[in-house]
Amino acid sequence: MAAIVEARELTKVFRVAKDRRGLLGALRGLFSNEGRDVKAVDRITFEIAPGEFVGYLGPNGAGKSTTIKMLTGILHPTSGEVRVEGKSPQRSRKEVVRRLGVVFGQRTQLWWDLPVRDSFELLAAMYQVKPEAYQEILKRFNEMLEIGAFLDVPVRKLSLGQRMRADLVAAWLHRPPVVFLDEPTIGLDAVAKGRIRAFLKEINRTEGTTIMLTTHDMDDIEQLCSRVIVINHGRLIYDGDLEGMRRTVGAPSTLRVEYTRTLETAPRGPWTVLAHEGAAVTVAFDRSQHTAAAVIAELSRYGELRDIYMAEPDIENVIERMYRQVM
Amino acid sequence: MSAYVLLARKAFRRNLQYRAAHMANNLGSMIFGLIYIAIWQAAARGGDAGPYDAQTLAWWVAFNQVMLWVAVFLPHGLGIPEAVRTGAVSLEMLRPLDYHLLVISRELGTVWYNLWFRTLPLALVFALAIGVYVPQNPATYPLLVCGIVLAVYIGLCQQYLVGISAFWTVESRWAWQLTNTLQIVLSGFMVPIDLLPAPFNHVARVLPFAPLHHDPASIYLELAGAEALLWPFFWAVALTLICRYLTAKARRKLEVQGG
Amino acid sequence: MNALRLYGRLAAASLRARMQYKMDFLMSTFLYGMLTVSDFLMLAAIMLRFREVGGWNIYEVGLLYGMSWIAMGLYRTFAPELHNFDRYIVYGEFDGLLVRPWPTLLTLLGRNFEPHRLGAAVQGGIILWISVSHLTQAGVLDGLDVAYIVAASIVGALIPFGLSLFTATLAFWVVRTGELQPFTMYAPVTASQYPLTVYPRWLRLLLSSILPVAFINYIPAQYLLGKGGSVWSLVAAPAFGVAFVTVAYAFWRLGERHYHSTGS
Repeated sequence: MAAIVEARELTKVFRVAKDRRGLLGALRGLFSNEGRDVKAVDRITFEIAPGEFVGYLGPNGAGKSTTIKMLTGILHPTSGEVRVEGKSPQRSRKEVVRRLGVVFGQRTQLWWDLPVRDSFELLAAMYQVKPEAYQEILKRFNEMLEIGAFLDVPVRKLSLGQRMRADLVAAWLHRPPVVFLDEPTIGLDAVAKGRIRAFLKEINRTEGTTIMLTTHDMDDIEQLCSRVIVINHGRLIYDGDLEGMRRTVGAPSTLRVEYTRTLETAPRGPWTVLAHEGAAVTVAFDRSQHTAAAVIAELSRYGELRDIYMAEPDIENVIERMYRQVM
Repeated sequence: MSAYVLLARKAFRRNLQYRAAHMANNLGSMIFGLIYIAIWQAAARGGDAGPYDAQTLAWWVAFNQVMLWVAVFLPHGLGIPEAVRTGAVSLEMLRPLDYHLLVISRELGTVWYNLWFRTLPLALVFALAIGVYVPQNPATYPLLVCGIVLAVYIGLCQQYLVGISAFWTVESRWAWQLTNTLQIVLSGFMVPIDLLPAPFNHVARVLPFAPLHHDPASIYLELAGAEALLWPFFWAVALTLICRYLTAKARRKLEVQGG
Repeated sequence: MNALRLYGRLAAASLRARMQYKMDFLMSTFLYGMLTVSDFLMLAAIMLRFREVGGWNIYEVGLLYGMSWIAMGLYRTFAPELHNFDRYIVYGEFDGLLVRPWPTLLTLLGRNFEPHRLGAAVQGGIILWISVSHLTQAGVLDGLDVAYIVAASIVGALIPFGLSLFTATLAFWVVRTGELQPFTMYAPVTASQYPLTVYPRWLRLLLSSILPVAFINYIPAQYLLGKGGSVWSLVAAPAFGVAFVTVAYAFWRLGERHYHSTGS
């Protein structure tokens, strides 16, 4: 099947100006060209087939946003090629972008002072979405995301979760075949994240939209993506499925439980005890070998559990291990 | 005492970071001043305005354009509306310092900065364009300093009142824009208030805006003597009382409603 | 997508949203008109005391003032996002403009509409009407002249728009262009309220070239009032406006290209 999104030896080099002090320094800076080159993205190559749900993972500053910006025509690559549906976003920006949906986690593209409904209607008119199609998509998305409650509220008055849901609807109004999401769950609480993940999963399944999601939240990846591309320091270090990644890394996860009663001795099982203080026990276990549920079940054999706290797998840790292993 | 000085110093340093941008802005101020001077010189050629001849008016405009930066172009409500919005104001009021004095001290840092990085470069440019008036009477100098100090203080109090109104109103932008407009139109900034058509000339004399520009400019150009300090002094006292009264009310509102 | 129809939709939506708070909207419009009339108060103070300025009397200056404020008011109403463009660079919002399938400037302008700023145009219109009435009564202007003046005031909005476009484009390199606006926008537009004869030669040159506010009102008014110029002045004003915006837009595209390679 022909790839719908392609990147070949994609590279982006930024020139960072030498830090200049004072007025004289600033003037001198205008005339000289000193600085150093920073490779934000270094020869990245991948192909995405239609309908895939790809996670683009990496720590802060790894080059995720820069890649997305080149895929959407915002930035021009220093070298290498980008193709979306066979066209170059650099050379045919308007054509390519017409068939894209883009959601930036940090910034909304809706009209700040207008009710959400007005933003949708304006976008529908701009993208020439037929009224029937618009009504139908609004109804469906309302069922999934429950936006009906705040359709008439100005965007500036929405909570972060509500705004993100509205942004998602806005991105899908014109039924684009490809949607890029840049950190869509950042800053949201667990409930909001869950709702958005459910929506994305459903949409990918029913609409067949190709989705590329950048994140540094492992749970986003685990729940949504069949395929993961990992990037660090601008370089692609893994491209494959989630299972493969877990197997490659074998990173330990941490679980902290509180029993209703003090435990005399530390519980034993397929884990390493990191801390044991009275009724609280912290253990580390290998996710690729045991599920969290199984570990919790095992732990509960030692007493009645009162509280469970699961530490997110440290993404930086995972990436660094991966990086070291790949090297 | 030292806490207030520290606040002022911090404000000064904060402004220092943006001096490049301020220089760009100064360019606009210079052009404005030169435009107003040109208008007056053309106007004065066509008529008579008593002691206000073309050259005097040019100096008048230059002096006031420069004064804008220490008496009028102050941050919106001296930062109080923002503090009210974020809730930081409750922390500030809790401190064992006089809130009115605290806010004024902080802004004095900005005023001191403006003096060196705004008024000074502007004054130099205007001096090159139209020359400098040097007061002949030695008594003028101390009077002028008093006049400027009172103008700065009154300007600060007016912005303070705009700011403190944020405790009771939702939208303080209008109060700010209105105050700014009155500070420019009725203060004798461009037009000496006695040149304003009746009844504006009388109204402007009794309002607290004339001490911002008209009175210090009159002293500087030796068009008036110590009597030009009477109204400024009155307003400095009156505004202080109003500020302190409203501050106490605001504090009580905070205590009752919990911010 | 018909750009004009779409802008109409946006304007309607904006108005609808503001009309929700009808009192507030009317107050804002009125207050903004009142604030901007302060320039006129200074003008009146000067003119009432001195018969004329630079050879122009109060009604002639009022003509300049009215045309200038109509142009400025229209610009502020239709292009608030351009006026505050540096925000888009500072907060990375320009990316959002690039992912729409239309020219970025169009998307930018379509993001906001500020009807209350028409208050400025209205007060300018009132002053213009008073001035023009007196001038037509005095036989200086005829009906055709008045029609031209009204049209020129509206078309004159192209000049502050062009100035704004140039200033905004600088944000691609300099980022915080708000500090430049007193120089590139506010000062020249204020200067255009008075006849150019008042200013020293270098300023007159500046205001007819790099900061060409003279083309909003002074150049055509000069001819209509019989103070100089030629019939070509009437053509030059709108023609210059169009040319100015065209050049400014080319500069904007340059800035966009720069953004594509450096981000921000």
